Amino acid sequence: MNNYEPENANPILYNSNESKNNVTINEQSIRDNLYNLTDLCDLNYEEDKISADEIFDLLKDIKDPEYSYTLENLKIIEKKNIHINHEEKTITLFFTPTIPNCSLATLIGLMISIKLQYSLSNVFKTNIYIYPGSHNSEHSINKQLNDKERIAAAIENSHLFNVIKSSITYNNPTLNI
Amino acid sequence: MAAAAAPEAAAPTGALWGLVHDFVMGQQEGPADQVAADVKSGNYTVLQVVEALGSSLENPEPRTRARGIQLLSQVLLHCHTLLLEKEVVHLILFYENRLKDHHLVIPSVLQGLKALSLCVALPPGLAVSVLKAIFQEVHVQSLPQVDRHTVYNIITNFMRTREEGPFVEELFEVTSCYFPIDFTPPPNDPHGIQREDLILSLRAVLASTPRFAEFLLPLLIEKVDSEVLSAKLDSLQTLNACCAVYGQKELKDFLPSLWASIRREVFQTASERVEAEGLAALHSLTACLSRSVLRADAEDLLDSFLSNILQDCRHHLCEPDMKLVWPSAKLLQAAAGASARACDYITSNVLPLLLEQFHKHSQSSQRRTILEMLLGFLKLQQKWSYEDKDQRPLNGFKDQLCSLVFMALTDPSTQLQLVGIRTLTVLGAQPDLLSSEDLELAVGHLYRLSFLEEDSQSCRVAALEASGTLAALYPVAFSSHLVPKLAEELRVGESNLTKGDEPTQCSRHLCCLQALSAVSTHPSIVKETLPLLLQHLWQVNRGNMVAQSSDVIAVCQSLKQMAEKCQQDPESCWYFHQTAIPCLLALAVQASMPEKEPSVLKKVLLEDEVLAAMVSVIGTATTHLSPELAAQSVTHIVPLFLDGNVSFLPENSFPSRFQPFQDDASGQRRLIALLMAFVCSLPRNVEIPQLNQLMRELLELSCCHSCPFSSTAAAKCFAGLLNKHPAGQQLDEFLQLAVDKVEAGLGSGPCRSQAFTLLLWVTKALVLRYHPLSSCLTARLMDLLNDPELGPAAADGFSLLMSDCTDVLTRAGHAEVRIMFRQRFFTDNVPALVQGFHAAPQDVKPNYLKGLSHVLNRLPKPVLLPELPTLLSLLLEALSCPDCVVQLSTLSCLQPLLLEAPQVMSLHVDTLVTKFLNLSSSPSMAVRIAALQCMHALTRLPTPVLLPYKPQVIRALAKPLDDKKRLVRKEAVSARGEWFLLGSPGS
Repeated sequence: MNNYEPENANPILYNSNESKNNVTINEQSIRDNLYNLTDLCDLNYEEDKISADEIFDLLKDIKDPEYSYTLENLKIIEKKNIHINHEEKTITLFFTPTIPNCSLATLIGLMISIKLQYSLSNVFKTNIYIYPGSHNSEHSINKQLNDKERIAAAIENSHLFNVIKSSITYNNPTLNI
Repeated sequence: MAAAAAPEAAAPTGALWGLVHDFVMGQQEGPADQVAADVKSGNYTVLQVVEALGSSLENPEPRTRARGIQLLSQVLLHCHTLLLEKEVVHLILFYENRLKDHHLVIPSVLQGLKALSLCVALPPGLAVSVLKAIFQEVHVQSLPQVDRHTVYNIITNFMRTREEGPFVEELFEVTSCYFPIDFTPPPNDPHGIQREDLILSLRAVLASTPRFAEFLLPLLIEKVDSEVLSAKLDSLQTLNACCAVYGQKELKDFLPSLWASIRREVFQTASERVEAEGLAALHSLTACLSRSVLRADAEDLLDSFLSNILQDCRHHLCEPDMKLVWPSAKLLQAAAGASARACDYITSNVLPLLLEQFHKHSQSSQRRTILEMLLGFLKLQQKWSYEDKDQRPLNGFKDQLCSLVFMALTDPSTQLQLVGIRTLTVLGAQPDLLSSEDLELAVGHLYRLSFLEEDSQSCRVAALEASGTLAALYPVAFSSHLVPKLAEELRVGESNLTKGDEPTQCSRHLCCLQALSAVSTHPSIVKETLPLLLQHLWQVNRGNMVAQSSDVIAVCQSLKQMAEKCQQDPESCWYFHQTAIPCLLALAVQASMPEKEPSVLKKVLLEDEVLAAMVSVIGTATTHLSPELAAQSVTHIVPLFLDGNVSFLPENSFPSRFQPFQDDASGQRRLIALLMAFVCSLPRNVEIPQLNQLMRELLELSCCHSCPFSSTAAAKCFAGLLNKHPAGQQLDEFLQLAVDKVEAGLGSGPCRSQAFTLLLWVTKALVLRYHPLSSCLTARLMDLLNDPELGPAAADGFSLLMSDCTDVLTRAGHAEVRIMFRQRFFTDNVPALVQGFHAAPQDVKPNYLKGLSHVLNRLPKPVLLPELPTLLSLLLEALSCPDCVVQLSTLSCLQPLLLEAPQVMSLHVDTLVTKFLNLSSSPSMAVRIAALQCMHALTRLPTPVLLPYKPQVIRALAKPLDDKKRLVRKEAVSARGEWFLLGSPGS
């Protein structure tokens, strides 16, 4: 009997819906009545610029590989640590492992990187770093996470990819019928 | 076999021989049922069947022997209830002996034993002998799965009725060796046995007797501790099943280990199912311990078990930030939900702790977690009723709980306020818990929360809902402390309106209106709040304030909500109806009077939106009336409109007559909409006075071209009455009149569009009730698709025919609406539409596509699926139609089909990918979103079909990732994510 124990059995949790739901009432009503909309062309008015909130929403439901909690619940990612520069077209993101010796920090970073690769076009360049001072091997992990070839190699590894896949599709919005 | 053949049954034995021969040698299946039926009806005895089988049972060819025994077994399965004890003994000896036979024979032998195991007349001892024989002669473990299933059935049958005596351990061994089931039958298993069937049968055996406990519980603990997810789940579920038959005696020695395993699973699991099963098992364990009847001197295990749980969980409750706080609360709540005794024990320990912790922690998020746990425990109290008031465990904590809830309600955090409101509702639902002082305070808080600013909408909505729930329980408290404040607020609002409005005041006024309707959940409160709202409307109409249509609409919405709350109580319903409707009518009539100097203010009441709001109030206040009361009301309202009889209206002195069907100039005829709201909501059996005249007037008005609003209202009203009118000569007359009117109008002239509207509504009324004339009218409508002027409107008309209305022709308004009308409409008309499309000239083809996509869009998808192959090419063509409405409606039709009929759709994958990608850059945002949702749904097609498109799609979907609208980007992200994962390892 070798029961797997997480490295941190009792981590701190944060309520996920503390933040205000940033879907506007207008957006909600468009989504609810999509097929019954009458003024089809008047909806084009203004541009919604990509925001830290939106990036956060992309990543918040990724499941931590150790628990049935999300990166948001564990405050591994936070809105304040996502920075978007619209002039230089860069997105810089810092994430915070729950404990400084967390052996899964690289994996979590990899998940964030892959999810962003799927979800963003090539217009933005993304940089992913460990939040300064939150992990013992910060520098080597940062180096790995921003090395494109290493990430591509990780996707090739089918066992690793399956772990990543199950985590990034957790809470996936199911196809609505 | 001693049962003697009855003399009169001896005659047809020749026939029996024939049947037996057909079955055994002729390999026909039918005779078996025939023989069974004959035995059942007493034509033959079982002995005669055995005699007839005679030689085939001794045949040297095993297949023939098997066939013979199969026949006997099938007869026994049907007739085991008729067997005498003596016959059973002989048959069992025979079958036990046959177990030694060739392996081809064994399945039929087992079937026979299964039949015999069901016999009530089974003498003691034979069960043991059968089981012994089975396990001695047959290697059960290597039998085909269907036969193993039969063996389980035999064992289960014996267990149900008999003692298994000295074989407990052996029986346990032979059954438990399969636990947990990890065998999955092949998908083409001819017996249709699913893995789940095996699991359930095995569980039924294992959990059938407490005697297995000493062997089973250690096994279950071992399997819960294993690493295999399915083994954990199965073990927890089996434990749960065992608790139904176990008592304290069986569980006693294993409780510490069981608790340790369950705790570990709930604390550490990453699977929600394991957590749920763990909690369910703990619940059953606690229920089992609570249920056992004990001798006076015996030790009660429940207390010590619960105290173990508390000891392991309580310190986690004190760390509201940490992960383990929730699993601990859930464990305690699962145990507390099992019995009143467990609930008492846990609540009396946990409540003081949580109350103390709330005060120890100062952050809102921590307090929210604590209060939310507390709420869970309070809710459990509602499961048990206490006869003795003093015994209720909450009484002692009432003051502390109240003050804590009030602290939460004044906290700046919305989340904490929300939990506070829910807790207040639960406390209020406890009978006799809150004192009148508590209630006064609570009402004060709810009043404050009902006026919260824009950004805490969720809290305000929750407060309104809580007010409604609590007002129904404590009407006096709300009448005396809330209604007067709201009345005052309304007056302040009126005076502000007079001054011209500031935005904040305006939203406060809206909140007040909503609060008034929300709290109207008790008849005595309605009697206070309804007059307030109506008086407010009079004030608006007196014209001493700057009224806007939005103000009146807001009042009407409030009135409608109030009417909805009154529907269930006949007294309130009638009160609302006879108070509100005359008042609304009087206001509208007043506003419709011709004036020398037209005032803007009064005309507000005649605007389309305002009248529509009044329509929904009147409809809601009428549908639930009893037929008697409705009949009383109809004798006032119809004469008002036909004869201008205003006597029943309050304040009924008007400057001139009310003649909505005659008048031309002023807005009187617009009020036909209000008449429609009333007469079309009446129960079907209420007789309408002057019906003939009314119908003719409506028809006349429906084709007047001066005011589209009133002509449409008249057409709808006419259609609504037509739908409910009983079949017969009068109905036919009305229909003839309508058809004549339509044809005259459609011919030419200024009223074509009015005549078309009338046609549309009359068609809808008839389609809903399956009237034979409806097909004729639908055909007329289809003709109009070719009409250059009315074509597009006719296409949109199909949407109206297929959708549900809100004001007339509704089920709630007692209209005759057949459930399958959409399916029927589809079957009757779609072939003609398709044909029409092919025949139509190019410029009107889009009309047909639009009409068709409206019909398909509203159709239940299962009806559509069989027709899909014939319609699909048309739908694909519709995707290329430049009309956004057609595109959107077609996409919404295709999206579910992609999910439900991926095989058919995959034939067209090339077209689908191209067209969806094209539409994903449509100028219309809704089309872009819908196209991306279809791209997402495409991933449900078989992967090999999709893989060739993967690179192209991933490249193409990069573009909508940069869409300027966030909603579009969101859909693009989820579609592209799915495409990325296609064909990845493990999918």
